[in-house]
Amino acid sequence: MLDGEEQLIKNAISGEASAFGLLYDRYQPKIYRFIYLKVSHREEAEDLTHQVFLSAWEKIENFQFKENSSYFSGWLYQIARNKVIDHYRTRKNNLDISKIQVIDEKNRPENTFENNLNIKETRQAISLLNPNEQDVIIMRFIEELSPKEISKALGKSEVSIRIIQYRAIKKLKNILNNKPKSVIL
Amino acid sequence: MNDKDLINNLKELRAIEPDAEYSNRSRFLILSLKKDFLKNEKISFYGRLFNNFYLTRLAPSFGIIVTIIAVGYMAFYHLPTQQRRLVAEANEMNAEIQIKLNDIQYYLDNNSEINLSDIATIINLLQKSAEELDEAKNISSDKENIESAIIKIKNAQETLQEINELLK
Repeated sequence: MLDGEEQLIKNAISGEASAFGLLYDRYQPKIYRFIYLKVSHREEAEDLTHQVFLSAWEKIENFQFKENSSYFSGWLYQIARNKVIDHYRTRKNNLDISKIQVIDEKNRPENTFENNLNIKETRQAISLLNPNEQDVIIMRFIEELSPKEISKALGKSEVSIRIIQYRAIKKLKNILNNKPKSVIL
Repeated sequence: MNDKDLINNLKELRAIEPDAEYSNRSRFLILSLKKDFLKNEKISFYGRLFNNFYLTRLAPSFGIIVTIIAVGYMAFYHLPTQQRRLVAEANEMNAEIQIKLNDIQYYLDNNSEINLSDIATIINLLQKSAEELDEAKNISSDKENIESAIIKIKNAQETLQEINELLK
């Protein structure tokens, strides 16, 4: 938990919109990134991120401080995971990954950082992992959460997180080292 | 690719960021909702948003304008024909605005497919009509400005019609 965050959360729980606004500013980019890497589609990621923060604002009274190690970010990630699961559950037309990527690229002409081929391939390789592996990889290496924080957010033991992390890294390297160009690009 | 390269590539994915305009819009929409409205589960999100906006921005203006115009003249039937026509016109527009607001509420309550971009457009239009009604309210107590007030009410009415069309 970051400095001053506990007070911000308390103020937000008491209904102070400006406090929730500051929490939004702090976490929204992370949650967006988390969702975007899981759904690979900008507009879907925007809508789901919006829903996450709407739910969080609606249910912030339910957020509980536990000991000194309760993490607001973990709570947000939990909501985000559930939103993504619901999204896939309710989506009537399941697009395959290659189609999603085509749509995605058309929707992101402004995204210059992905001109770096390695980055693009890495992002697409993440989309081939299973949801748990995606969660761990994103939280651990992109958002730099500790295994303990991830274990709280995902409701798994730290040992499980380390095992998932090990498998996911191995799988990513395997995908990236043996990629058939037609699949990845 | 070794572990180090992979982790470096993963770290570079931090450059993914949401669009700033989207973020501002989403933030505004969420924070503009009062907690009390969020708790009302029977009304859709967009319905609640409208409800909130209606109560805080639109409702305080539109009915008051006609009242100001009418009370300003006190004896309606003793007004010159032209002024009487203006008061009647304001009343008629007031009723039409109420119908349009009811329609908008209905569409928002019953349409869960509206995306953020459409909602942002609707919010902008609502904001515009609220401002037009505010201006009309501010000038309608002055007899000299009655016609300008009527024009502004009419503009607000047309803006609400635009929202109706968008929702349809």
